[in-house]
Amino acid sequence: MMGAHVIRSGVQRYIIDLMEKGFISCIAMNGAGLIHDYEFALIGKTTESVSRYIKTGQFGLWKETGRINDIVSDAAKRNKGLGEHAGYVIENEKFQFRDISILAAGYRLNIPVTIHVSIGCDIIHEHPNCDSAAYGKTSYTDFLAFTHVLESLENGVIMNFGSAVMAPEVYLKSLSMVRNVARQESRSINKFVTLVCDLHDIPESYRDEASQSNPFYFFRPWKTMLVRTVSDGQSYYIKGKHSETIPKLWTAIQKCEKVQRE
Amino acid sequence: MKLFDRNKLEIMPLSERNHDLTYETIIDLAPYQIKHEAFAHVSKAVHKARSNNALVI
Repeated sequence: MMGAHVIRSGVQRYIIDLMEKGFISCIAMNGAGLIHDYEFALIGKTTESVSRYIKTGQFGLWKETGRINDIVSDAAKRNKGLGEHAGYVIENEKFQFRDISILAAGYRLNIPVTIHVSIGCDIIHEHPNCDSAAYGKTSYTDFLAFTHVLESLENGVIMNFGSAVMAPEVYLKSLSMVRNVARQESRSINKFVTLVCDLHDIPESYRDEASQSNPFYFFRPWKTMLVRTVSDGQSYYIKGKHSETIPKLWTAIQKCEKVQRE
Repeated sequence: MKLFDRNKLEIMPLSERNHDLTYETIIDLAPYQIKHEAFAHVSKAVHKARSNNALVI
């Protein structure tokens, strides 16, 4: 699960390599992740200066980026998920820089890339061709796809790189749903590993919940992904920039693979 | 309730935008020095999950 800054950090090759090697079963991102991935794939560039363009009211109002709304509408008509259809378009229309597109990689490799949109939070929601119902339908399809994947979480790993709200909130609701069904089938989904990588300085005692007087109580990745949901599992927090934590995780996985081969 | 009329917006081509990030921002694959022991724990869990057909998100 990732915030959009992961894509802006330029670590796509590491993520796509892990996807190609079968180390990633699903990726979840927010609507901004979709925009950065799409723009990078289309023109090899992304990210505008908010402070510059908000002065004239031009922030976010760029024609080619607005085409994402048409892709979302098309996905809704075809009963497709948002991430799947965006990946399909990037791959099949052979966007020039699709080699660094996580969405296209997901489509090629049949790995779900789910997009969890908050209406009004993304620049493309400003555009006249934005169909909010289509966003609701396709992003909800992605929520159910993500939840379906989460049914196999027992003995698995769930990681959050830089998503303060979307990742912990989506994960929490999906986990409740899959645990509900597992309970009815006399199964459990309790033993798994969580990892949160972010920039905050949280104490070494992060496996205990922060007190409500501590402002970090409201940092959801901590209480939701490192404490409340992993009582029988293991949780880890690493402070760092995504441009370092993701390459380091990739390096550690490579080392582990080398040791196993030997 | 009156709503904002989006059709009044002037939308510009991306070619007129200044971009803060370019393709050169993308980092090439190369190993990194690792100090934090959590990376080893999580990478073992990732391998184990793949072997057991459990998921890694």
